[in-house]
Amino acid sequence: MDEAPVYNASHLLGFFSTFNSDAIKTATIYKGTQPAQYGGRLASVLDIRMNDGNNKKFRVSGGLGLISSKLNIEIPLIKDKSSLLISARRTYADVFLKLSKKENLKTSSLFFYDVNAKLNYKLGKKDRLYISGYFGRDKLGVSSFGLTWGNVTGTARWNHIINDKLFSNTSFIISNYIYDIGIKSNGAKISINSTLQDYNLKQEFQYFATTRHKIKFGGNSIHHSIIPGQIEAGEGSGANTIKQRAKLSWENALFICDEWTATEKININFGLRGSGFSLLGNGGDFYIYNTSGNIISTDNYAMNKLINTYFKIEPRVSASFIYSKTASIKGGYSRNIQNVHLISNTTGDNPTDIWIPSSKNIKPEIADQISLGWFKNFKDNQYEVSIESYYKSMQNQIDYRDGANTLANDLLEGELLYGIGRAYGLETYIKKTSGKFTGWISYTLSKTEKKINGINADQWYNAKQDRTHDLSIVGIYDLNKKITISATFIYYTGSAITLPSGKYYINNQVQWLYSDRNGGRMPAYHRMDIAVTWYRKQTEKYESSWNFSIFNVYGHENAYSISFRENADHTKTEAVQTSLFKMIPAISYNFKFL
Amino acid sequence: MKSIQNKLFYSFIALLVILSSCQKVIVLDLKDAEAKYVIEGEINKDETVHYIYISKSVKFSEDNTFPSVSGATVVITDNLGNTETLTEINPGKYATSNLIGVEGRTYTINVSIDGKTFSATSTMPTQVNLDLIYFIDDDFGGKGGKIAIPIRQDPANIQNNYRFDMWVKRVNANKGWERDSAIIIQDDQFADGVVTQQPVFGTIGAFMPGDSCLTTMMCIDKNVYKYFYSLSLNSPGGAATPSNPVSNFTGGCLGYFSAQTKQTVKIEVQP
Repeated sequence: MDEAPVYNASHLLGFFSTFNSDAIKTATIYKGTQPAQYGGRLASVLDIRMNDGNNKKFRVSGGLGLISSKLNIEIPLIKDKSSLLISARRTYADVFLKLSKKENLKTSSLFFYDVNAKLNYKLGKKDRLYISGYFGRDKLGVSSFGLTWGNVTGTARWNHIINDKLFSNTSFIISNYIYDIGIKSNGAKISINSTLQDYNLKQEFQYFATTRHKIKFGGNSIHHSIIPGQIEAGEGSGANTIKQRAKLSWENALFICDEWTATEKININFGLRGSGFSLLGNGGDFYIYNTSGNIISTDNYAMNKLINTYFKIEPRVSASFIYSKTASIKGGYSRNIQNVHLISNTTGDNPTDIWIPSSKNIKPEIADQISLGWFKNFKDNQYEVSIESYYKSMQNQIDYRDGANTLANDLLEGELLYGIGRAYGLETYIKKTSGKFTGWISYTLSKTEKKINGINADQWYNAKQDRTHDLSIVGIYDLNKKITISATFIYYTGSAITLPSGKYYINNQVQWLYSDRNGGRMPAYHRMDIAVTWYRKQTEKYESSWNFSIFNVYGHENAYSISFRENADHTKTEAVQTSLFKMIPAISYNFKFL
Repeated sequence: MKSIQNKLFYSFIALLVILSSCQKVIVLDLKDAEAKYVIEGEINKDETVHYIYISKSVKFSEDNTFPSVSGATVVITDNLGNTETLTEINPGKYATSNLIGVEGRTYTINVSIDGKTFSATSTMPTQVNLDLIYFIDDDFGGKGGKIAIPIRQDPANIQNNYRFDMWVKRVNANKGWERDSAIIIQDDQFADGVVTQQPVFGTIGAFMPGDSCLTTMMCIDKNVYKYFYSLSLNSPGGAATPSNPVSNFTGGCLGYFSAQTKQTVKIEVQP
């Protein structure tokens, strides 16, 4: 989000995206070879840039809906010089809970809100200043339990034109993610909370050396401060407050890349990124664990003292060959390093997943990826077709030991196991870009696996995000000037999960026996959404539309979880699937003052 | 604290489920694993007769009848050199006749079946006294519902691990004692050296005034706690990738061996 990393990018358990489409100018996804200016992640990068706002006219637009509402305001502060954009959303599904007769539901909450703001100021012909921010919170609460989580990001960016060949971009970025689990016990509050705070200073230059070479170079320096999970207990709660010292680290990188137009038909982009990641002391104890997870040595380091540093070089190269007016081939190789690790043992996305920096125990995650793709346009560019394939090999992958204690555990690193990973796949995409009917079909066939010493008898197993098939079809049809109909169909293979392979009796009850890690599958997920947008009469000052939509039209019961239980007469065992969000109709009214 | 985490997750799911959801029985294609031996045994404080149960796992699709394993050689030894070979008193049920359970002693079990050997070691912790069972209102359980808090003074600066079994006899039901099937464990990670006030969350539902409650508290060692902790992660609401619990047995069988203290309190729930 305007260069600031967003941790845990979903609202309400993945039902809404963190990003408000009203506030977004561009969203670029780098799945294949990432340019050298991006770093710190193994997976693909979604580079989201917020709208700059309108510096000529005051504009208000928004939408009122059953489940959520949004408002978008663009304010020109100084004509042609400065503007402010504010965009906000709030869902209120929980309003319906208030209608419930059950006392404990009436007091429940379930909502999120977020606000985007961006100020843009032209300092002069050669200078521009942007200040942007994002604030989002999700809240879930049932009687004495509550869970809050969310991101805050802030970016200040200064664009400066040094001369017609050299541009400078300087940014200062703050990023913060928190979660807080609150429990009321005996009238006292216990809170389990976690914080992740980044300060990032970034300098980037663009140098248009010749018409054939566009060079980008620069560097950045990030200070990470992470509290993985601590306890704050109120008086009389029967628990002790256990404050954790923040885990401090300092990440530095230098990069250079050259977009070289070698010939009219050949473009080559090569880059090099050098990164250094240092773990810093925080006044507390640091432990080194042996392979069984027992502490073998303890050291104490003063605040901000350098403990150890990992230096890594990340080479990246990609090339495209345009062999006809409408067709090209692209290929590339890249190495990526990740030093702030997401450790999760849950089956779904979870706001309380833990992020942890590289240390003497945890090595930087490394991914080497090669990719190759074919791109072609047909019928005067009316159709775009692409086929891409990739292979990725990963080192220093992390997973939990069986039975790990993940809650506010100071010795968490002793609960980790390490290994390797691999991912490969084929992505196909076809898009119709113009005419009354537009839309696209995308299909991906892929495999993602891990091999961790101490898990699954040291054999390869499916990663939780492994999806064999992933299909999406989107169609948009302009019936006439007033009515647009759209439909979306989504299908993907169910997540890889561990299913029982037997059962036994212990402690007076039946328990499941497990053998293969992630050897089973959730049922495949599929649904269709349809929407009709009806544009009302447009005047010079005002335009509006009604949007009627149905989520999951045919009410398919997609599995959210699978559990096992004894059948009614206690002689056999059966599998039970729970699904959420069956069919949801929605109406919203969207408006825009011109 | 684990139980609180679980409770939170239950609430969370309960809310979603109420909002819009449905459940149905589905048929899954499950692989069958080779049958494994299951050994369960406890050495209780001050007792001289202790039981060890040995059975085998079955396929998921089979009936809930678990074959007991006869003819095993079971030997228990303590760190003072006392030793006893157990007698099979019923199929799959083995007993000592005179081996006393004492706090601080370490017990080792060796089981030989069909040329395979399984062994485990457990040290009996010093007993923490269960003072009383106290009931507080359960905000989640509806009107008048209560949850139990086993009150005891946790000793400071040592790691203490507790396990509970709970039974309820409902005041208006003629069903006798019902056992709570939940795995209920507590440690002192967040409550070292305090008078513990952490409620126990079972799955049997809130207590109502007039109900009788029977609570057994066991002080267990670290490895047995690890076993039950990892077993509880597999329970519904655990949401973690399930795996076989971390057993204190070596040799590749399922189950646990616990030297433990055990106290039981029976109380009628007051309004």
